[in-house]
Amino acid sequence: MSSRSFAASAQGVQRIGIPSNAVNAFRFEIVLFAKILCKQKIIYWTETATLYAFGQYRLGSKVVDARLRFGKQSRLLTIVIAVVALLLLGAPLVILFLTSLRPPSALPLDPGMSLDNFVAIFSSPRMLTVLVNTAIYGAGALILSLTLGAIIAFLVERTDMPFRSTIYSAMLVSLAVPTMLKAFGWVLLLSPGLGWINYLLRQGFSLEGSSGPLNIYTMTGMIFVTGIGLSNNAFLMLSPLFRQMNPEFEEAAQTSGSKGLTVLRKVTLPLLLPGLLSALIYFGMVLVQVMETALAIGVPGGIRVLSVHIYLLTKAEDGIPLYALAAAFGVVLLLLALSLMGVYFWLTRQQDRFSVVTGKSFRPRQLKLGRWKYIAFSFVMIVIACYAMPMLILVWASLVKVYQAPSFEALNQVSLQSYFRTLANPQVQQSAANTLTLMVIAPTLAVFIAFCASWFSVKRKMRWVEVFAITPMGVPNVVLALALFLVYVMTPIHGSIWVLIIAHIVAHLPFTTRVLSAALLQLHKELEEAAHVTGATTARTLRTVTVPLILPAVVNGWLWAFSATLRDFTFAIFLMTGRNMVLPSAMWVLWNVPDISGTAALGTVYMCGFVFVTMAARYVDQRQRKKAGWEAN
Amino acid sequence: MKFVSRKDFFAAVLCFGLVLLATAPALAQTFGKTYEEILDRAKKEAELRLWWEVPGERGVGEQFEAAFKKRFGFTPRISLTPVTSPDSLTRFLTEVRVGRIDADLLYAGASDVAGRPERLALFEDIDAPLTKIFSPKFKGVEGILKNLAPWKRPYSVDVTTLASGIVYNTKKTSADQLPRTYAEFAEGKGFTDPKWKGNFAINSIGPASPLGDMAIQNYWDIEKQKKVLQAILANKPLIKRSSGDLRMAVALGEVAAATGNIGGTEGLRKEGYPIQTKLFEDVMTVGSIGLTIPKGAKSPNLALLYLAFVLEDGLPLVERINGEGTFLDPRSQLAKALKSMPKAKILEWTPEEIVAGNRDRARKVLQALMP
Repeated sequence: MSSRSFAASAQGVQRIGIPSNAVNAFRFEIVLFAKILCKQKIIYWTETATLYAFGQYRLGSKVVDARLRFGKQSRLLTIVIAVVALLLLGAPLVILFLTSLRPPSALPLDPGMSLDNFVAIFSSPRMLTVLVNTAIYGAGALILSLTLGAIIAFLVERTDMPFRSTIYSAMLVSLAVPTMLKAFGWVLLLSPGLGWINYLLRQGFSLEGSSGPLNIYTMTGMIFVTGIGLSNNAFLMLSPLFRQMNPEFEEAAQTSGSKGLTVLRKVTLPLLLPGLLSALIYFGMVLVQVMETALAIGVPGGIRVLSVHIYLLTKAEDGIPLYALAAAFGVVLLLLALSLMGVYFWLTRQQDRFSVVTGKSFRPRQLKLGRWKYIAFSFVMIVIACYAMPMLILVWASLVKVYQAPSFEALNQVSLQSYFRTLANPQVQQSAANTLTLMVIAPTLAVFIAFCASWFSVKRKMRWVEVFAITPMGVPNVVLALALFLVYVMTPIHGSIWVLIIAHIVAHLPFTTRVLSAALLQLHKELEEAAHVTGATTARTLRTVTVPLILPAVVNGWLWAFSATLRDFTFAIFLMTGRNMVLPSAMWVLWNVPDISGTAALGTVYMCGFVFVTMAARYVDQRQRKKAGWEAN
Repeated sequence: MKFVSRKDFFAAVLCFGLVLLATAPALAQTFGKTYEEILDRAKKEAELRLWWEVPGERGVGEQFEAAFKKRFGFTPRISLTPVTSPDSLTRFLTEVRVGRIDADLLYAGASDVAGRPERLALFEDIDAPLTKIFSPKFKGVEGILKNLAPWKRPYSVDVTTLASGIVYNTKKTSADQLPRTYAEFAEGKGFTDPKWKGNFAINSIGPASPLGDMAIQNYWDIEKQKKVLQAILANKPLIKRSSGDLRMAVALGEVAAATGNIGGTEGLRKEGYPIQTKLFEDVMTVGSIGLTIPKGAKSPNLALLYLAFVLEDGLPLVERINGEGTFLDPRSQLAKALKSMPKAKILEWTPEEIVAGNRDRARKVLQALMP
């Protein structure tokens, strides 16, 4: 290296302003040394890496200080994130990828490499049917759930519709029903041969025959049950967006003469775009994977979708389960998910355009519905009735020893016997204790990690962290369960409640990250900058500015993770041992005994517990909103 | 010429001694040599990690415990992991690979354990201690071992036989409405009859489906199986993914009848559900689930004792758990039903057929026809 370039390098390093104390002199030497040693492109990357190691990074042609104002803890934090990411996501994904390269019928740890699984996926004649079914099912349920979720979120957050707070609570409570039980409830209501609604329709309209007229075992039935079932999730994801939207923009449009629909089209919807896109992509990926409804309703009706196809591959139809083939499907889904995320990031690349919560104070404005508010209320009540009906039929099933359709004659068979019997079961008691541990730890850690990921992604432009956090969205739960099993089977974590905790953190990270990053996206950087200017550290800024402002999203994220953990059957069953049984696995076991009334009784108790927690969380959330002056009522 | 110095020689002897000491537990016999020794070791082992299909009908666990205590004078701590049979084996095989076995006594398909030569090294030889030590003491054990197929010995002892037939709702149909034989079933008197349209259920093609098992010993050729399945599918059955789902559909009256594994109906009937089973008179396809002790079990003696106890006292309880016992046990309902059907031919996949891939081939062909 010439003395000229040496001097230029030295000047370059001096430009970034390293003080001349002893420690920084050492850093200076290292950077200089790297510059001297390396040439051409290698110089660039080595320099970048060296700079990053000292807390600095490139931004275009500039080198800027990237050290967080956590001070010395910043590098430690980065290392912690890397280790957590590796343990939670990296290792299972590597195992998943390796498993997909095993011969189709081999066990995951068997030797041998092959691309047969991928060939099988793309050459199977059944695949086209499965993909078409998946597309119809996914699109139908996506449209239904997002439309219902968005309408209800808008009505609750932005209008003067009556009983909004109660409706919000009802939406949360509806999350309590595990999907499998919900599907079972709908079968009891709409099965052609058994359904109570069908029975009432036949009686009411004097229809002939002993079955029909409605049939749940159809594509329409699947879309209806899934769409209704996911609409409360969509509501939970979208309501913070409506709540945090500054009405100044809409008011400005109206002042300049725009009408309601034009404001909605040109101002409201574009402002909601990142959040809506986020929800759209999230639910799109969820619907490709969602399994319970498709299994309970689609399979009996002869409709197979992708998730069920994968699940059935792991269920020993040919003797030994085809885990390797299922893992290959997982890899394909993962790539699909990553592509969708790429689209999302491309669409929202100029994120400041979407910041609607700024340093200026604002108060969300309520839209006066006038007479329409009763129609809106009736519409929401119909949706809530659709949430309630499967629950009610489940409660009925728990009260009768031998299931029969609800009637006045059957009332004399009602008793609480199933409850006493089930709750006295030692296995159920142990499962309840395990569930409690799982419920407290898993959602809390998931939200904490999701917050870190979102914050680094949105505020520090480290989008790879978010990409990493969202990656598990593309992995079907059954495949993720397999991957986690393979990773942790070699450790004492295997068989303990901790393996379930890890599974739930990984599985719920995508949703909580999306919820929190959508909320952070709406938070203008000037708020944090103002705190920094006044001398607050990053930690203090987070504690006193960022977190309080996005608290509704934090609570929603936690509640969602909590309810998803409660409702999960896949991990509970797949990773179950005698030591880590939780209530969903206990229900599954009772169902297989089979003990219908016991399962229904446990399901009912389970729902009641959830209602209690939901109410408590709702109370905390409302207090926070009151404090922030956001109370809409 | 001096090959080794005295110092090196003593060092080598010391090392050998240490290695011997370290490997002594591994070289020791897994099971005690006498009944008393097994009992003594079992008491010390104290905890049994049991992998079983379901914990069973309510109260059965307590009855198991009481019966065990009465027989052996102590109560072990049972850590029960409820698993389904094929899943349990996959999981076990994976655990073996990484050297962390979480089971002492494993409930798994006999043909997937004993029928696979490459897997035999993973399981303990239980035949010798059961025959030599337990059979002279316990008549039940002796009787069952006597009836056990040679290929299953010495690694697996049947405790359940999954027999296929028809499950029906007594309020919606009656036994005389159902086909008596498989021959009748194939000729259109079964679920291919239009009167059953949409009012019956079948299993997805898998271990619990008789439709995938009629190829055993070439009883039906594959073309005939395909023809029957196509005719059944044309009659719009509900397709259930497991025998549990299938039973539930029949018990609740969602459909009048179903073809599948007939186990598990006993508990529902006791609860008051109008459910009954019917076996075909000419042929019965079966699959056996056995108990197995894996190598590396933490409590092998307790597992062996428990296995002997199940064979001696527990099979009626197992029958209550699974709805059917093993037909090796003369006390079981299945064995009694078989006695009343002397012409029934029992078909079970043999290890040779499984290893040759006949089972998988037949099921794959039929699966391709399923929606």
